[in-house]
Amino acid sequence: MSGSKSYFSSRWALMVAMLSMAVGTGNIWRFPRIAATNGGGTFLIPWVIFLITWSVPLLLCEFAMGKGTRRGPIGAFAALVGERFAWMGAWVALCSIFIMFYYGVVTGWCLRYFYAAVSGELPGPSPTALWESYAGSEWAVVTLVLSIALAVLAVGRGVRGIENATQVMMPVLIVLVVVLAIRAVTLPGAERGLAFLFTPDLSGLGNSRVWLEALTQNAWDTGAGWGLALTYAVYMRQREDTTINGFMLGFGNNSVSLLAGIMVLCTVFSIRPDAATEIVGAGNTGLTFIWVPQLFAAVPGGRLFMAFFFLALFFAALTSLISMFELGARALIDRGWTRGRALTYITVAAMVAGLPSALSLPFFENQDNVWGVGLMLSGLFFGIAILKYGVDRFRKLYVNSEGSDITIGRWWNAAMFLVVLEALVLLGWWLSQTISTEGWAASLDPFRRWSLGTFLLQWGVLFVLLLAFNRRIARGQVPVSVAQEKA
Amino acid sequence: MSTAAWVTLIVIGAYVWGGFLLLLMIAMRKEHGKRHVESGEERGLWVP
Repeated sequence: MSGSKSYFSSRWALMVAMLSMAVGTGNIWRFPRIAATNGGGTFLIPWVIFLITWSVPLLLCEFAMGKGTRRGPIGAFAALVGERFAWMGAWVALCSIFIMFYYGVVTGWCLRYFYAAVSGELPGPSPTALWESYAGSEWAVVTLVLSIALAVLAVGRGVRGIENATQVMMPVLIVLVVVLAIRAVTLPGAERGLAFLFTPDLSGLGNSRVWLEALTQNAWDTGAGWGLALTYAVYMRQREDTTINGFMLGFGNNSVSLLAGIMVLCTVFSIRPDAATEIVGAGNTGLTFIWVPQLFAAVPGGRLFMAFFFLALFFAALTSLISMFELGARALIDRGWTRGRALTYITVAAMVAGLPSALSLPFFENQDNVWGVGLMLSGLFFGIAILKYGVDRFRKLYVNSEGSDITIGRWWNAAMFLVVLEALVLLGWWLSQTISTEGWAASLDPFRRWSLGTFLLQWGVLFVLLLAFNRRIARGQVPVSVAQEKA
Repeated sequence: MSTAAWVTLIVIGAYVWGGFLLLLMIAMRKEHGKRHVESGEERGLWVP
């Protein structure tokens, strides 16, 4: 690929791709559920605070690192803070790649449910019929393969392929979410959902769990600290802005989350106010794949809106999956591989490593938890890297770089210290709460689905491997000009 | 809906949606300005 083709064609193409990366299933199925189970209006207060103290500072950092170093996470960490710290970049990359392995399964589920909504298979003879016959079956493998094929089709054509795919899917997704939100607020009794989502209870702010959930939701749905924004930023033009774009990504993503919250909760409280607590407490898959079809079945014109909902969910998932494939491919392209060879290896890995999650829901849930919480460490590593490099120096050289529309002031320095503090405090709180609730013996059992032991075992193995092979990881990077030519 | 819920809806909505729209407008103005500079319009070098 020639140099001229290695960049997003315009600022808007870049931002559409970035937004499509950030807006995923976390916005549509996780935000409404987490907001509802953590006090609605009470949850929104820490959620908007963490947008500005976690997501935006990290997104600015990722934009600046990608544009400044022109490398994926591993190369960017090595270039910025030295080869000794390449393992931190490898953690960021691998954490997102491990998420990609099961995220392909989620994308497949959305595709299958979109088909079921269009073909009239839903809501089906019983609420759980389709889910029980499909999830964990060989059909889940088929939809996993289809999802991977679609993602590879876009990433295989490089930046232009990503640009073309996201420029179709992202606007459609936004329109669908807006249409569904308007439909939801115009349902009789929808104001109960709005009241539930927006009524604050200030005494609830004393509950540390509300703050932890608000932070993890921000980490999950903005994609801050995943290394994905960094990867797309590699393809920013030199004169492209990093500052307003970073803010716009965070605020744009959370705008979609808020619309999704209104869409889901107004529908739930309008159709089944009696079962609202049970519905929002049913987990991501329970809410989406068991309750949503039943809810839409009770709405006039519900089949059409159900198809819209699952199409929006599928587009959200697929565009995020595309960015994860690009991250994986970029890490190998930085080592001098051609895009075709890199993508072949990533695709085979995604299919093989995605199989256990497609065939076993307990395994899927284990991976979702282990690497979902692992993202907090990814954010921490970004923060540590910036502090090591010199936070003020980084801000002056990389954040406020050529083409930036506004100058980011010293508040960002404090925000990066805060990011490190937030990650450490919340990890410590999570550890202590898990141990005090379950006791040492039970919490350290590595074979329980959500035990501390399973987290520590999987993270520990990865840490040991990354530290052992750090030199090899760091030294495989080829000069940027060579990697760009081969991309 | 209670007054508190309305106030929260307006404040959060203005912050998140309003913030995004404001940033989008700033970005559009800046981009428009950059295009003018690139084409030389600001220096009177525009060529039909």
